[in-house]
Amino acid sequence: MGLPGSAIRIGALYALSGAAAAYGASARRGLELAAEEINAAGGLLGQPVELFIEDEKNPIHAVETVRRMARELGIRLFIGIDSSAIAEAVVPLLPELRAVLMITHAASPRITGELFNPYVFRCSINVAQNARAGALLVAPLPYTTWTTLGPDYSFGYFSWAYFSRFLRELKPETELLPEGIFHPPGAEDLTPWIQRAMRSGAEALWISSWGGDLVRLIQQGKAMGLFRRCAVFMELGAALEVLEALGDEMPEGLWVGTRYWFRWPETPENRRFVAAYFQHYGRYPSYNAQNAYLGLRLLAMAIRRAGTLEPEALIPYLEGIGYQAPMGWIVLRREDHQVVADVVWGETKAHPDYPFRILDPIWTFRGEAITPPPEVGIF
Amino acid sequence: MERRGMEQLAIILIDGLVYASWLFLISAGLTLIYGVLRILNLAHGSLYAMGAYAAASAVLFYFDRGLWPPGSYVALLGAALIIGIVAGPLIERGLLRWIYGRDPVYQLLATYALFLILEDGMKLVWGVNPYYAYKPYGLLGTVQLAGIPYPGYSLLLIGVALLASGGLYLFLHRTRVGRLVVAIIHDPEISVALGANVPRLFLLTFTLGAILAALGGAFTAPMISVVPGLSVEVIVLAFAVVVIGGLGSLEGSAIGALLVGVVRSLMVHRIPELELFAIYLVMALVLLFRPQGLFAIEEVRRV
Repeated sequence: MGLPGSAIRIGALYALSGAAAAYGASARRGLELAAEEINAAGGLLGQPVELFIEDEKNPIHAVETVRRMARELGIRLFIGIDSSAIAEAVVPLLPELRAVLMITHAASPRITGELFNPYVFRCSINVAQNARAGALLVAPLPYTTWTTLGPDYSFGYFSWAYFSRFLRELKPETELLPEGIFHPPGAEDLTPWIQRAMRSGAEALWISSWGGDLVRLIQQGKAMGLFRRCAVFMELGAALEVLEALGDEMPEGLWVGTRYWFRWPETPENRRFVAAYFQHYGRYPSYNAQNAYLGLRLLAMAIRRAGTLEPEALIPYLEGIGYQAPMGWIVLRREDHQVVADVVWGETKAHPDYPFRILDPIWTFRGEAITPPPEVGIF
Repeated sequence: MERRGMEQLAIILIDGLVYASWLFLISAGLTLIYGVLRILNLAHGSLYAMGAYAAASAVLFYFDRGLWPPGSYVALLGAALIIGIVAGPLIERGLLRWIYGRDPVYQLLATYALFLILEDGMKLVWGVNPYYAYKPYGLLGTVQLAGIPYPGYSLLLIGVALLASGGLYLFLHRTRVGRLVVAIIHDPEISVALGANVPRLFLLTFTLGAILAALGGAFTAPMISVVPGLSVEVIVLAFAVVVIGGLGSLEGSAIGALLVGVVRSLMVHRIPELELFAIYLVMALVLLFRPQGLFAIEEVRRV
């Protein structure tokens, strides 16, 4: 490392196969665009950036891959991870490997909570922030009886626990049905769970399903009249991976949220990023693409400022820093290394210029307003 | 209250029937093949997955051409037939005929190897990104059953399963070739002695089983995102249904599928925590009282 003529190696882990592969593919595009731009501008410390992108597959495979990349390639900088279960398995390794990890998707609160260590950063919105934005959105609306429809694993339960807690705080008269409704992730036929949600007596539904599950849920829900029966709020419904998969099958006028929306904010940074991405790939960046792009940009900035690749020397240049990202002004909070950034919600609408539904109108929630206090002590 | 109770019962039964139809489609071929060839085909799920991929490709191709939408159901059917008719004989002639009558461990290893090869073969052909071919799903809209809204496509799935089971029944009991197949299921040795052309019947049966698996995959494709790894879940569920019904018995598979479908649906609506466990609960209870399954074919005692 650091020899003239060598490259700065960065290890990346994303879901490149399986049900979440569309997310991994967009992250890869964002990552490669950032690397290309950095290298075109002369690289870092006089060296080009070289990416080693691997399929994260499952926790055991991911842990082995990270160890192997650290041992065989001398990699001390990692980025990525779509699945929370995988991130939770990798994060505890970092102090031992003396490697920095920039998480760009996995949203589990445990990563910046009980599992936190100084080597991990997260430049993407987490479960609590998503839920808080959702609660702020729905509190003024006339719905009082709520339940959830989500995947039957930790993410679905965390999402509902945070959302219902925040909503109760904002609106004490809220009535939460005793049981949330959780479907097995990956189930072909979601109609029994949709049926239960429709007959639960809830006026409104908080939906945390995502990816392929959400695509099926919307398709099957539409065929059952779910969207006529209750008000529906899908916290990750505006992920471009979902909107593109559904195309004009996506009903109009549905409330959907996302962790970044390419048409917002209208800043030079965002316009430039979206234009460069479109020119490269002929499509628009999803939140996962933006997050991966942002993650690598943050690591690059820290390397430039620190003038070294030593992980411990980089940490102070990531901790507490602010950055003008495509998604707006962000801060990597000092205490738990969680990004403080804005969340976007909107109503789906057809638009002649896009082969998928866009958001119109959109509602944005400031990072400071949706980020609960840190859940870890100061190290 | 009374009315709500009735409605709930109707929902449980219909949901159960939809799931049972799917279970029957994935397990009928497996049990038929076992009954005749006496081989437990671990690559059965791969035939299902290939059916799903071929159907998704066919549907996407069909709609890209801007053709008449309802014709896409024919594309689904066509994709299943092509996979079954091409892959069935290839597997039977290329692999299975060498291992008939061998130690079951060899047979399991051989079909497991085939499963692994097909799994990666599918990644080579179709890649690892999901395929969304949902257009045929939305076309059928919503149907009201006893005042309860259902996706029309769920009813189509029930129809496909009923047609498949009816067709199988007529074939096995009303045609000469079908009767020969039944004869082999019950007594291979006597059938050979009576002049049945066993190699031809084995080829025919395996192809038929492969078509059934591909049909299950093809008609599931519009409901799901078609991704690598579909085969694994399917072989586990299909095997459980076949064990419940009794290895080699089509009637058993149908009853087993219904039983599992209704019990699972009961759990989804009444005890959601136990939903994942439903199929194993049914299996455990059945095996406790009938270790050979509900309708096991009688083994001829060899002296």
